[in-house]
Amino acid sequence: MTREVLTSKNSSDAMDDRRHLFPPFFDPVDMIGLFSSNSPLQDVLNTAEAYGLTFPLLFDPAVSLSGHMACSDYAPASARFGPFVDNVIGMNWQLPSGRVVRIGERVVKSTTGYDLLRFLLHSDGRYGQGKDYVLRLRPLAPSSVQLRFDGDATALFKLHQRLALGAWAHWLDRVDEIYRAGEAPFIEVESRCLKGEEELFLDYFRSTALEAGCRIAEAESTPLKMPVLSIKSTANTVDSLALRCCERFGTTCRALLFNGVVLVDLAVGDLNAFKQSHEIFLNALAKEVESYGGHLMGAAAPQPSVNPLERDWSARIEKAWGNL
Amino acid sequence: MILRRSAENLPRSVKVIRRTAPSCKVLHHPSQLAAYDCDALSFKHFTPEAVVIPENVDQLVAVVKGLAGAGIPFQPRGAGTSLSGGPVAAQGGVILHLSRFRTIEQIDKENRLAVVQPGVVLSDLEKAVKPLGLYYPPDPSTGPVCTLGGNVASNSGGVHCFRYGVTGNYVLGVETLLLDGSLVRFGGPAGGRGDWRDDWKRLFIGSEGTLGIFTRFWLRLIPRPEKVWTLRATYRDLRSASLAIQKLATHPSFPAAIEFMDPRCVELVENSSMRVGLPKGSFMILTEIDGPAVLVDRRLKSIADLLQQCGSEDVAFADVESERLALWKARKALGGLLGKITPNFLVQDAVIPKAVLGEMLEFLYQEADAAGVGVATIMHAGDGNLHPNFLFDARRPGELEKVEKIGSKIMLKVSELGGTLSGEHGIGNDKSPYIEDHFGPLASAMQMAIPNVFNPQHQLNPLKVFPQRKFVA
Repeated sequence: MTREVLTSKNSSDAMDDRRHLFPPFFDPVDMIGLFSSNSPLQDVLNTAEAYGLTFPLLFDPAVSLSGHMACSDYAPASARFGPFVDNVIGMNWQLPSGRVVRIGERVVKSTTGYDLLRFLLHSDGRYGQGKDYVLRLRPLAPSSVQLRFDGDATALFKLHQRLALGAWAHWLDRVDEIYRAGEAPFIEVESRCLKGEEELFLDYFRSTALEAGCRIAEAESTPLKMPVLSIKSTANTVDSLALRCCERFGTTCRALLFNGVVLVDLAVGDLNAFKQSHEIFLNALAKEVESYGGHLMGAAAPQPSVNPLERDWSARIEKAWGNL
Repeated sequence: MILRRSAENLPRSVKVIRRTAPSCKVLHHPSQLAAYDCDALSFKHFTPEAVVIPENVDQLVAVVKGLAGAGIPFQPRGAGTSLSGGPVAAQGGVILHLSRFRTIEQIDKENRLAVVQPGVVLSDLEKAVKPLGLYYPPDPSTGPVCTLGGNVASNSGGVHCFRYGVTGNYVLGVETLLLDGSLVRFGGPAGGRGDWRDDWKRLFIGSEGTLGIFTRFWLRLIPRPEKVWTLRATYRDLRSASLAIQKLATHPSFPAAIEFMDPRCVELVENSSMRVGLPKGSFMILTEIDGPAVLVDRRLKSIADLLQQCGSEDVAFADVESERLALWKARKALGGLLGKITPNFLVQDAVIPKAVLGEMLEFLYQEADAAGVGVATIMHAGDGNLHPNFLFDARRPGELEKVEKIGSKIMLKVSELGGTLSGEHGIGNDKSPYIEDHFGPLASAMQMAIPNVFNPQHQLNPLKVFPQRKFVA
C-alpha cells in the first residue's frame, strides 16, 4: 500500500492531500479494502479469503490489478460481477505532477460529483496512474460447478441464448466460448454455489444442454492467460467475432458470452510481429466495433484515433489537472 | 382563463425561443410556471422565466442554440421527482421539459438491451420488458412517475441495487446534446467507448444535467428473476439488527435487497391506519432473495435461520405476490404516511460505512431531538445508504432553517465517518454547499475541470453540484 511521503508544491498542500487520501484499511463488514495497484492479485485473494471473501475478476493471480485493467475491462467473472471499474470504488491517484489525490469513496454506492473514478480507470495513463485501489470484494461461495459443453455451431448458439436469457443467468460466474485453431469451439461455464446446491446447478445445465442439443461433461477449465487484445462487442456478435479472430490470428480466443467481449491470447511470437502482420485487420476491426459502441484495448490494440473535438477536451482537462 | 401578454411584454427567453424554434411549445404564464418551480424538495422554490417543451431533437437543438447564443441559463427536466434540487431554475432562465421524448425505440431481446428516449417513464420501460422475460433493475421509489433521463442524470438507485447495482451499471451508451448544439454519442449498443479514446459517458452519467442534455440511451437488460422470497424480521436492539445486516450482506446467497427501518419509523407506521403489527420500539429488517425457483426455495431456510439467530422472534416470509406486498407494506407506506402526518418532510440521502450505523443514528437523534424536529430513518442497509426523514412545517418561522442546519451537520458527520454525501439522489443545489469540504481542495479542483470543459460558463443548469457554478452572461 502507498505509504511514501507525498510530493507536493508546498507543505500546506501536502497536508490537504494527506487528509483526503485513503489510508490503508480493510473492512470485512462493507467487504472493501485498500490494495496497492502493483501488488499481485494473489495478495488480495489471500487477505480476502481470511474473511470468507474474494475478488472474482481475475486472469493471473501473479499479475497486479493495474496489469489486469491495462489488458481488458472485463474478466470471465464479469459475467456476474461486471467490469473491473464496477469493482473498484475508490483510489489514490497520482497526477502527472506527482501529487496524489483521493478519487471515489470507501462506500459501495455514490453519486457525489462527477464520476472521475471510472473515467480515469479507463484513461490508459493519460491523466496519471492509480497508486492504491479500494476494491469491492464478494462473499466467497464455498463450492462450484464447472462444465464443458460441446456441439455444432447451431447447438452452441442455442445454448448461449438459453444461458443468457434464463433465470439462472445471474448465478453463472463464467460463460466462455473457447475457440482454438483447428479445433471445434466449445462453451465452459462455472457457477459458485453453496454446499449441497451442486446437484441443482447440474440438473439445470443438463436440461439446458439437452434442449440446445449439446453434449455436457465435467471438466477443468481452460487455463486463463493475460490477453494481448480485448475486443468489446455485443452479445450477438461476440461468437462470430471470436471465430474470425481465431481464424485470422491462429491463436486461442475466448468469447465472454454475457459481456460481448473477445479475449485474444498470443500463443507464440512477439507482440510487435503480431501487430505488424495484422495491422490492417486490427484497424478495420477497430472501426467495425467502434461503429456500434465497442472498442479494442490491450497491448496488441491499435492506437485509438482522436477526433479534434476530443483532442480539445483532453487538452483542456490535461491543462487544468496539470496545474494542480 | 390564461391571460396572454402582449408580445413586447414577453420575457426575452420566450422571444428567443419563438424566433429560433417557432413551432415549439412554450409556457410562460405564472400559473403554468408554478408547476415547474420546485422538484420533490417542495419547500424550495425557483421560478423559471419560461418552460419549453420540444417535440423532437431538431426543435431541442434550435432551442439550445438560441438560448446559448442569447446568454440565457437553462436546464433539462424530466418528471421533477428529484430530491436534491437538481432540475430547478436556480438562476432563473428556461426549463427544457423533455416529456415529449418518451419513446421506447427498441427492445433487443437477443442483445439484452433497450434504446430509449430520456422522457420515458421508468415503470413504462419495466412494463415493456417484463413480457419478454427481461428486467431493468434500478428501481427508485418514484418509478411510476420518474423518467429515465432523470435516473441517468442522478445515477438513481433503489431498493434492489445492493445486488443489481445502480442506473450507471446499466447504461451502455448515451446520446447527448452539447451546449454548442452538436449531438454526440458516447458508447452505444456494445457499451464500450465507441470511436472515442476516453470513456466520456462515465462523466455524463450522474452529471445532473450540467454537461449536456440527454436525447437517447442504450440500456442493458438482464433476465427477469423467476422467483422472489421476501423476508421480514424485527429486532429489539440495534446491535442485533446491525448483526443481521452484516450477516445478510456477506452471505454467499447474495440477497437482492436489505432494507432497514428504525423504531421511530416503525412507531409512525404502527400509530397510523397503515399499521401492520410490528412491535413498537423495534428495528425492522426486510430482505429479498431472488433467482431460479428451486435455488431460492433451497436458500430460504438458511436466510430465515440467519435472521432468527441474530435475535429476531418474528421472522416472516412469503413468495406469493400479495403476501410479499403485505411484508413490504410498512416500508412502502412510509412516504405517503409522512406526506399525511406532516406539512413537509425532507428525505436526506447519504452513504455510511455499515459499521458506524449506530453512531450515525445516535447523532441523528441527538441533533433532531435537540432542535425539536421529528426524524424517522430508513436505510438501503446492504449499501449503507441512509435516508433520514425530517418532519417539519416550513410555514412556521425558523423550522426550515433548523432542518437545514441539522442537514448540514449530518453531511459533515457523514464525511467524517468515511461516508459520502449522496448515494442515489445527487447533489443538486441542496447539498452543493458541502461538496468542496467533502472532496478537499485538490479533488474539488479536478471535479470543477469537467464542467469547465463542457459548460465553461455554467449556462447549463447553473448552481448545481458545485456552488461556484454560477452563470455570468
